[in-house]
Amino acid sequence: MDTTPTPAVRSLREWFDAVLEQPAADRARWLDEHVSDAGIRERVARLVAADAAPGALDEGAAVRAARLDLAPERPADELLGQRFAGFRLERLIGQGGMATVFLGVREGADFEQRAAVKLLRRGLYSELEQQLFRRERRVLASLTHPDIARLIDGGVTPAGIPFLVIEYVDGTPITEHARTHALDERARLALLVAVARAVAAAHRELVVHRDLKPANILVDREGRPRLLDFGVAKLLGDDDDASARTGSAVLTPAYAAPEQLTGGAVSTATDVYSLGVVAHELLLGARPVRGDARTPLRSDLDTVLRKALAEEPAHRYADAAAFADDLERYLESRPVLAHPPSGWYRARKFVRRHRGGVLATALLAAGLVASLALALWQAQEAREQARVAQAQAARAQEVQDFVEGLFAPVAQGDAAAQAPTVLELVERGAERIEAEYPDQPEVRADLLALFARLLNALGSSARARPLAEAAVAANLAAYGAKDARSLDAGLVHAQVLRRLGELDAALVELKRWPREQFAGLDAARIVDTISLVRMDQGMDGDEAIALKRESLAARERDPAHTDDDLATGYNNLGAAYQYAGRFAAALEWYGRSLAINRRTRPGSRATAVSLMNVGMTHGYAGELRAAEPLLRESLATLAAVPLDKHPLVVAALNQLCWVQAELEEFIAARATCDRAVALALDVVGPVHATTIYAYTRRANAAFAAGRFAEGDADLARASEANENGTGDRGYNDEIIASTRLRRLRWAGEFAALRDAALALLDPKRGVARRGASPAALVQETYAARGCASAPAPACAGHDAARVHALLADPRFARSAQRLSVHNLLAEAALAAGRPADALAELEGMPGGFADELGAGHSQVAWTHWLRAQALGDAASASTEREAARAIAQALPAGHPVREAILAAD
Amino acid sequence: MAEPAIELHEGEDADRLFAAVYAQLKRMAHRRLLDVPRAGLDTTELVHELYLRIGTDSDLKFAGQGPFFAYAARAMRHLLLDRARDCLRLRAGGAWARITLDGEDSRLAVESAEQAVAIDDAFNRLAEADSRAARVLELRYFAGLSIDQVAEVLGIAPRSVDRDWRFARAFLHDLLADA
Repeated sequence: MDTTPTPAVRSLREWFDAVLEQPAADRARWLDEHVSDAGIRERVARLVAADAAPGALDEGAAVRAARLDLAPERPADELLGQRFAGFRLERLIGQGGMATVFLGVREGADFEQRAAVKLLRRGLYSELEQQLFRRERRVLASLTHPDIARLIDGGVTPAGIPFLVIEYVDGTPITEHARTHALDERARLALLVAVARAVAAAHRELVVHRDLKPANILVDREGRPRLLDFGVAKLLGDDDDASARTGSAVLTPAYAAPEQLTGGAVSTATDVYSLGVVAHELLLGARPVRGDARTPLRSDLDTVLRKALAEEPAHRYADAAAFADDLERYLESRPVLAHPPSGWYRARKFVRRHRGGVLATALLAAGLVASLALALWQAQEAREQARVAQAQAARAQEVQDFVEGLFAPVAQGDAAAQAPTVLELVERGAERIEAEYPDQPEVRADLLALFARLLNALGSSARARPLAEAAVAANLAAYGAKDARSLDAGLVHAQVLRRLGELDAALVELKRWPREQFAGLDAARIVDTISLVRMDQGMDGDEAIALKRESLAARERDPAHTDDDLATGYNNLGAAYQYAGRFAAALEWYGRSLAINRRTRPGSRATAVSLMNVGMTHGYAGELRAAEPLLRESLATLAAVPLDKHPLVVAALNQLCWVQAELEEFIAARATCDRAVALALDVVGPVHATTIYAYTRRANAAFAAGRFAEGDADLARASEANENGTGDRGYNDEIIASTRLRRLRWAGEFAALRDAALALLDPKRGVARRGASPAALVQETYAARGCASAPAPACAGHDAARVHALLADPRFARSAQRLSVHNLLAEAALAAGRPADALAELEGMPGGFADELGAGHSQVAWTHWLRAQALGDAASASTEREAARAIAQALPAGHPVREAILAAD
Repeated sequence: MAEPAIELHEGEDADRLFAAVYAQLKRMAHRRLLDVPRAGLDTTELVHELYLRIGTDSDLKFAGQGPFFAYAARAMRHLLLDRARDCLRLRAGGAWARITLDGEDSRLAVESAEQAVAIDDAFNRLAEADSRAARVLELRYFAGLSIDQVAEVLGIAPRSVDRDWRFARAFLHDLLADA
């Protein structure tokens, strides 16, 4: 091979070499003097300049290669032709930092299915990681919405390559689509609403996208938006909290919410922010300047965007549904909720929409009742309220005049500055009844009962009381003692008294209405109300069951009964069995109710409540795996009703938070618990019992994950709220103290653990029905554990034997809590120097619980570890120790089980 | 001038050797990317590590360090070009590509990829014009060898290597400025 320069270049090279011999300052002149050919001279001059200047080759080849490293670990061409879940990889369609995407084709006899097959870059090599991946994938697979690219399949190959098979979408990014089709503002808004609705559907499943951006929001040829990569960012996150990995490849800074950049908690509000950025870009042509949410848009739209783009997640729309609602309101020229709460604004819009006789008064009353019901849901009251509202329809004109009169000052602009709250309106109405209807006893009687009921539902039971008393008298005078309307007033009065804690007085009122004098359904309502009061009095389980059987029988007897009435009866009987701790029977009756509701009212609140009841009962029974999907479905149903901001949603979230924490689904639990707390604060306020409970559930989840400081902070919040609240302090204190037990055990504060558990078990403190409740089982177990390490006289009788007696109760037969109970008792035996008892305690453990809780559960590790401790020097101890270590290593850092097991290495 | 000692042998054996070196480099480059900050990636270290790894593979026999470095340099050159092409193909690949290629990183990657392709074009022109300068550039830039190491491998004086390198570098930079 010729290694010498070709003749044409030779002179170039020779001149270059020669000129470099000259001092740098003289080179230009030297070239002018020596090179006659102007072309050559110019080229040499350029080479000399290039020699002196920095350039592309100064950066090492390896650095450049690294920057170009978008190639997968497995070269793409090696994978072509391979099959994943039946799809043959046809060609590469995308490649990036986290994954490689292929077009996959599955061929059948008469079809050809195309899909995007996404191979994740990061291999999942441990069984645990793969389990987590599969679990998460199942959740994503359940996302079915026409506008969300469906997850068709996925898995992990034997080589540890995780892959997802996703519906293939042929479309263009939303921003590009809007530009090329020159969409106007309305069309763009409509597109955004559709996108937000699709995101909302995912939020209902508690799936957060985490990486919404135009590239993930395609619009297909029919103009339909299609969302890609739902939840994939989370699947790709590789530790406990992917969101904490700032700068990780899984988010796009321009569209990321502030909390993603600072490592804060990711929630549905995170997606709202990203949607806000996309909306801003779509409506204004550019992304917003971070930290400056001003827009030149018309006021309401500006307000909506500002709310979506708020720095603080709590100031944003809670989820995409709320964002979509407001965009839609704007499109329909209705008031947006994001508007600053100027009282005048709200009242003006409300009155404008309801004035002028467009709506019948009955509807107005029903609407008012319905919104109150949304604000504060009370079991079964909604149905009754609807009945009341219908009864009012007979005297629609009076009621219409009356209710419109309440709004008159606002409508005339007199009260511009101060719009009344719903409570103020109701109170104002209540005050006026006597004055306005002295001569119309029937209207007066109806209104008194209605407003007493409303005030009670709004939590103003003390104010409702005189109204309720007056309502009973007025209805008795107007209709007599055997009329259903009089009964309604009597039941309202009893409910008010019950709410005020005057349970005996409530029973006295109920005795005025002998159930045999009323028709089936009315009789059932009497019995149901009696049972509510008796439940508050701590009746025993058998009485509860008897009462609910009676009310069910009354419903069945009523010739006018509907399936829905039966569903209510079955549900109530299920509640009685649950109250009695007979979970199997409770599940059966709740199940019957659910079956009817699913059939007659799918997607209704009744169905959601049934689902929650079945899920919660599974939870009480310790059947955690069965509980979780039901609670999720309940939440999805509530959101579809739609009930986004409602105590019921908080209740379901609280339950799910607990279930996920106990299953050690730490990531999911954190999101659920955060949402529960945020929603509780939003819906019922900072000192309500529901909020306190939400704090304790989140604390419990934090303790379960070993994040003690977080849990302590939540318990402190719960205590503070309880101090400032007006609820049942003793009951809340009990829950707070019970939550702290786990914390005390892992802190090794056994004397404090003993005292706390024994205090909770003090019969003077709890109500008689405690008996074999799940809480009592936990408390007795912790008492035995504390007493083993810190004996005291008060410990007498609180030992393993008592716990074993409790465990024998059929209600715990299938409880996953058994494993931790046996573990704690084994610990107690070891602490007392009785390794043989510890081994006996662990006999057969973890057994089936490894399936129920998951093989990677800390309690499974702990069983192995305790058995190793009990075995001492025996050869079999090392096998147990290894099993414990393998699981412990995959637990989150700081988890006490992990720390204890790994510290011993 | 003497035939350089490191001329690649054509034929099956050379293909196999090259394939092995290339595959190893690819694996290593990727893995190291994951644990070394990008700016800290050093071509010299990478190729040295490659040598150590390849050296333990008893199936692969190089006639000496020189031939090995020739393979390594060529492997790196191919790696850069392959990656650059992948990267550019992705950019043109439609919506799916945009899912994962977005933001600042991708812009840098695309710029870098365009430059890498231009470097390869310019290298080929240099190889036509001055094959020894091209070989020096290959060893110096793509394999990360020092002037003295290149001189040793090629069996020429360090001063000649320095001149070749300066010419090659100026030649490429000049072409890149035009590109």
